[in-house]
Amino acid sequence: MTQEVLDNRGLAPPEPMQRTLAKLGELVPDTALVILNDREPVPLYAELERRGYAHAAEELPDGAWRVTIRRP
Amino acid sequence: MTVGAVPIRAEQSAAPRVHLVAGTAGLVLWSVFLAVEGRGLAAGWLGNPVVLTAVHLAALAWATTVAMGAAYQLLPVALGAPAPLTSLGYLSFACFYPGSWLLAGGFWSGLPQLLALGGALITVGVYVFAAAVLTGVAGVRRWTPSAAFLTAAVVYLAGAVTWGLTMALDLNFGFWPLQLSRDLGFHLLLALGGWFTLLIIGVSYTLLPMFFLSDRAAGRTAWSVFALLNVGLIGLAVAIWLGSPAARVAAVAVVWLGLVLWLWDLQAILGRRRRRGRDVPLRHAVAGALAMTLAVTWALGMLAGLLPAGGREVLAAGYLFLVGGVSSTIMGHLYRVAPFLIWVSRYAPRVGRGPVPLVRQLLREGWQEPAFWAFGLGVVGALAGLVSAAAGLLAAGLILQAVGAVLFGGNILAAFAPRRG
Repeated sequence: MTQEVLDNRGLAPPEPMQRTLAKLGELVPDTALVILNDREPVPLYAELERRGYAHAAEELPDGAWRVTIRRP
Repeated sequence: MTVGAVPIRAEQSAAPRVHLVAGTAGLVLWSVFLAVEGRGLAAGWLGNPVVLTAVHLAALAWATTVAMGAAYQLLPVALGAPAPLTSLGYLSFACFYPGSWLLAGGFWSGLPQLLALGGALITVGVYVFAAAVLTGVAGVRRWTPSAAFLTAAVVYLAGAVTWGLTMALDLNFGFWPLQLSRDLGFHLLLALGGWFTLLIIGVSYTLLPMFFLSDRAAGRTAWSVFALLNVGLIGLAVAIWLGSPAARVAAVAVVWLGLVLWLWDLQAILGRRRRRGRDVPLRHAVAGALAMTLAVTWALGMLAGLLPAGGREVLAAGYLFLVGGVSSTIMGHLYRVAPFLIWVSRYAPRVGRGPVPLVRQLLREGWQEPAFWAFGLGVVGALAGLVSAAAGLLAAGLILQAVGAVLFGGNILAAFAPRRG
């Protein structure tokens, strides 16, 4: 599976969520989206669940968050 | 799934939005009440039905209702913990909000039965809210200053309503050896000092860096603020219990130090923000923080015997804290939180499937400046009227403040109103 990276750091809410959801609509099949956010994107998770995506999140050493989103 | 951490799931519930709408309506109604009945403030504060009604409407039907709604939605963000049980949000609201109006009606009408019923409903609502929040707190992965502030604030809130209910029941059944200055002191300490102060400071450490894009995180200074405030508040409780004026001054001085340290930390956070400019939400937050600190400075001066401490001055300092400080700060945060919640619930599902508005388009930006100036100048005018016993100035200030509140509330409520398309 290939990956695309979307860097949302430095953006105010809800712009990271808006960019992420817009990008998901453009993804080709079998591609995971990796997003980098300043904070854990908690409100995004409910919308990902509603759209049928799975996610894996981890906090990076600098306090930023990397979330990998894919179709299960 | 979350790797290397406890999974966090954000629930989508209407409960937070119900709180924010009802709380904003509470602000508008309370401000109009004060504009109409404000001349009654001149009668002093102890046992004055206008003061008691207005204070409880402001503290409960407006500020605490909004704070509860925001907490149900934002605690996972603030605490890094699983979402609180938002299903409990409906139950806590159904008890707390009607209870707030019944209590206010009890103060206004002088009916002790209404005070007891309202107080009981409020207490149940707060206990349910506290249970929901503390359930989330139990899953905190890493204790941050915001998590500590918010947890302690909820504990103080539970204490404040329990103490208030005890006093309300005592009016009905006379079971408590009531000492007004002592028991009212505890109630105010828990509500204003514990609940609102810690809530606002805890929220500021999360929301201000998040919305204003500051890279300075809450750290050691925030923990020092937390320690100073709690030591000061607990010390003040002991001083009130002992009836020691000297200990009271020392304890309030510790609280004051905590607030000054918070102000210093706040300017450092805002000084490193990437979103420049001084928009209305930022001005509300800064004005609120300054007003809270000024009110505590004033209280310290009165307790130390350095400033006149008559009924008018005490009422004015309390008004500055609750209206100029707490209300102004919450208004500023609501300008950010309300459109964010509306956008996430209403428009996020449409992203990638059709056009969606920008979050800033959900509010009427042109209303924010007049609302800010009307509210702020109204508070200054009402304060001046209170201190100088100038009835005309007081009335004009309260009317101006109500105009600001109506403009603000109209803006927020219009954003929540259903839209076509």
